[in-house]
Amino acid sequence: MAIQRPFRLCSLAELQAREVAGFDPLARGRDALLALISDEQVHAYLNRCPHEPVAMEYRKDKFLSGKRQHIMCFAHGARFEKDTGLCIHGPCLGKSLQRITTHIQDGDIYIDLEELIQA
Amino acid sequence: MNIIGLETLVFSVEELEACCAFLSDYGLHCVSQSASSARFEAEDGTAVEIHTDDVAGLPKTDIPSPALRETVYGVVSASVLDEIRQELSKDREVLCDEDGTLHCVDDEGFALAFKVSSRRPLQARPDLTNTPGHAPQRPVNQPGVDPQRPAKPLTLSHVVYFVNNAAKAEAFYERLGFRTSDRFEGVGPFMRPAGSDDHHCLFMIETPPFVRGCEHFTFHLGSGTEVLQAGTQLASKGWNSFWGPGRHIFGSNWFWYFNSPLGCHIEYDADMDKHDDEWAARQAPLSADTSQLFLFTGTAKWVPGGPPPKSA
Repeated sequence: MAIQRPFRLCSLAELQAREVAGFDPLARGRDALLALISDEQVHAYLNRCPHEPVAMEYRKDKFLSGKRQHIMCFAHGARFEKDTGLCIHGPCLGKSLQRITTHIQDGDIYIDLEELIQA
Repeated sequence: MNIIGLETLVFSVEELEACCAFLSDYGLHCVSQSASSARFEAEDGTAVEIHTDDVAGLPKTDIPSPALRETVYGVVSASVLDEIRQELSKDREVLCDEDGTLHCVDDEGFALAFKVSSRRPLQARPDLTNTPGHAPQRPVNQPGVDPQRPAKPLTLSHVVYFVNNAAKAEAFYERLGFRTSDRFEGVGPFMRPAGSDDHHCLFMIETPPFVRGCEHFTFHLGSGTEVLQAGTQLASKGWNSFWGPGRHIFGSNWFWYFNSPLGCHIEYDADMDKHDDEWAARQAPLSADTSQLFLFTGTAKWVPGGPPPKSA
């Protein structure tokens, strides 16, 4: 992996089982990013709504709309495409969640902590 | 028009079970629940109703659920309903239920209802403070803190709308006897109806056309201490804080907001200012400094000398 400070999020199998999950790699007490699988691809986004800089879930790992179609910000109801992070409804319409690059190695999902710190 | 204030907020939701869990943990009483609907009441009977999308008879909206579907105001008597009907029938359809409740839509597309209030009289304990230089409010030997005493939502406080034309929306509510208490310049007015002295039961935030719906709502608790107590408890049950705790300047109310599965955030508030018609509305630009006296962040309890706090 050509990344400076690899951080293992979880295994692919675990993310498949959890559907969507939040992670706190910097141990700040709140999940800084979320990861999910959509169209068989792993996607990770900063847990920060483009509308206002707040965490989006209403409780641990509750990032998806009720029908599981969209990532949702439960502060104001903004909805985002799972595979692009684009807001398609709500106060940040047309803006996107900030993507965090993921790397898969030996069935595990990694991010670069440096990218998260800079985000 | 003697409108008292909010009686009920009606939502359509996607996750009924999660919403029930949230509203129960928030401190409301579940008075009815089925596979498709539930009603949660504060101490005085003001309420939040939640319904799944497929429930018949909900006012229509093109905002996907979870969404506010109707704002129900309480009035003092049937004659007030007649006044409202006469005024609003001038330029819009006003429907009347079998039980006399009026239904219409405001200029921003929010469905409204008006009914004779069935609020129960409140018997709340006073929040007594001892201040040096002032006669004690709390008698000797009466502790101010009782950890066993729950902080319960007493009554619906206010709702906040995203609106596309705040001036037009303000003019509509003025037709119903609302007055503006204060205003954030370029944002919108805090308004109170004629039958309430609370600083506001409605605040409106002007936004572009694609931003619509309910921004948040809240119930009054008994004191600032109760806001901190209830919010700490809600956070400890795993619900995520959005903003707070803190204390606003306009209205002076304590606040603590939480994300919720109802699609908007939900607040605890307490100790809001009271006004009458002698009050001259203030205005200020919206900023971090004008919107709050102070702001804190909730954290897990710990004690010096004890173990590290449990992670939130």
